[in-house]
Amino acid sequence: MYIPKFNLTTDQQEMVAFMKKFSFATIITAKNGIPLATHLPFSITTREEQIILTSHFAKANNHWQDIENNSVLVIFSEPHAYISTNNYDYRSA
Amino acid sequence: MTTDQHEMVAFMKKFSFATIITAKNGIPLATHLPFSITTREEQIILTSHFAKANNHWQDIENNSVLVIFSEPHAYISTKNYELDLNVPTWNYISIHAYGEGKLITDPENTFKVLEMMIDEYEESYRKKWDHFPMDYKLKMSKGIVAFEIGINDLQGKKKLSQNRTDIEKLNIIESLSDSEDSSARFIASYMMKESEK
Repeated sequence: MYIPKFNLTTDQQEMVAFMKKFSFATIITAKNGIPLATHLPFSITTREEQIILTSHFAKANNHWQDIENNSVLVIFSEPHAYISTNNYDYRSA
Repeated sequence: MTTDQHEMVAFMKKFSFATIITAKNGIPLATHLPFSITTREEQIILTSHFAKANNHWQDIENNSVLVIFSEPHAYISTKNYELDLNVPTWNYISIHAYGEGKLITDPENTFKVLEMMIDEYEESYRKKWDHFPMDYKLKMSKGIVAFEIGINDLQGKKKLSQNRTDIEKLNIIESLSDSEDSSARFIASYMMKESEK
């Protein structure tokens, strides 16, 4: 993900807290260059300082067949807002 | 599942801050962007722009592009069900739009994309924008890469307890309507719309 320096967070505690709060996430893998996504609730734990995400697929959802031996991306996101230029000081434009 | 394109486009327009995803060497890459949704000769066209510093724009041409529109979701407790022997679940709506990306490189069309977005998100800003000096607008537009995605596969999923009894659906709608979480209240209103069909 593209992250400008002033937007970067590296605080793992802060990130884990966010993931726990917004735990209904999107799991994504790719096969033959085509991304595939499923929306799932996750449990977030740590094991020897590594973050572990656990969840389950409906067996009828073949996506479960793609998550081993593959790069897996899980996106936790939710709050967002349009920012109007009305908020800006014109001197900083 | 839903196959109603009108309904899907309405949802995409309402929840237009979406996630664009491509894959390179099997590794998915995602960027969160606001989208304008239009149709051209019955094909859905999604337009937006990347920050030029975000290399993701280099991957959208000659590649499978997925744009996910999703937002409302809610945990569904078995308290809403008639029988004890049940498991909880999660309700949500999500549209997965697959297509081919095309970069928009000329300033004229880049401005068109930006101005369409301005008109959608903050119409009153358009007057200010129109009066900005051209060198400022050109300078700002050089910091972005505009693009469009022509959608060729639109997948809609409405997971709204359609498999439950009417009483259970009513219980769910009632409990979610009282929620402090706006996302849960959206699910309640979509479930209500579904039951009116």
